[in-house]
Amino acid sequence: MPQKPSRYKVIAFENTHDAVAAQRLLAGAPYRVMPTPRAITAACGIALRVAPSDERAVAEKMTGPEWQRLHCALYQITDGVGERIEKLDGED
Amino acid sequence: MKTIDALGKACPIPVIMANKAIDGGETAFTVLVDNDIAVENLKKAAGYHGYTFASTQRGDGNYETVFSKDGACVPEAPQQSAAPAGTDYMIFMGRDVIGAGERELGTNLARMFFFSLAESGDLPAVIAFMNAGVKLPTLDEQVVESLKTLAERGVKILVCGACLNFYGLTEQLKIGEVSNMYDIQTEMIHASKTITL
Repeated sequence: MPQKPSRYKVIAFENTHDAVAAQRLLAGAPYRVMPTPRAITAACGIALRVAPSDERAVAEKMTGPEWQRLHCALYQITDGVGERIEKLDGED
Repeated sequence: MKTIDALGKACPIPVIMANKAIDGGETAFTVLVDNDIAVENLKKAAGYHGYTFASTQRGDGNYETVFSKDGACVPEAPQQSAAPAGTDYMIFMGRDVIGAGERELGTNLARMFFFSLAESGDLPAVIAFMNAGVKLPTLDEQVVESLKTLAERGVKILVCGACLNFYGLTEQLKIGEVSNMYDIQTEMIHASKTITL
């Protein structure tokens, strides 16, 4: 049976174009593309998964005006349950 | 209640034995197995056929699993909405993206596909890569990582040698075995189904 890590963070996006644009901005950072977990319903299908040990390296790249224009939110996934931690873009 | 002794039987024999009882119209029966993977597979089979399922581990370490189906007892919905897949299906990847369209999207879809497949409970027997598909087990770090997980879980990964050669990627193969048209074709013919992406 699959051994799923029970805790990780996910960046979920309002639309797929932002999900693709975010990957360009995060080039070189340690993340994995995954289908958005079913627990997150208010987002598009592409999400970026960040392991606990990689959070800092990814966060360092999540800055600047281009990132601010993306519509996305950070979620904590614990045993398949998603909890929104913060909205990451500058707008409402 | 009928008792089926599947102790010492390797996967998928216990499930086949249970399915036979279900096909035979048994509404309540017990299957004895000696490992928890068999319990999980039997649970899936029970859900698929609309039987309620209960398992208890006995003092000797073996498991007693009970299948039951009666009018008064509404079976619980299976945990997975999809029916369990066979263990002998095959995935054929003839390109390095999924579908036709924007390349960037297709790359994301391919990465997501292998990521979720690596976490899935229903694994294919074989994944074969041909033509530009060979760029995935060579150049795509995330797909390579997922394929390594799949290989560890027993999935056979075949990569077309002529294609690696054509793209100059032979030395860069990170996972899987260099294969050929004969072997890949044979796997396709013997698979219960081949999913082409």
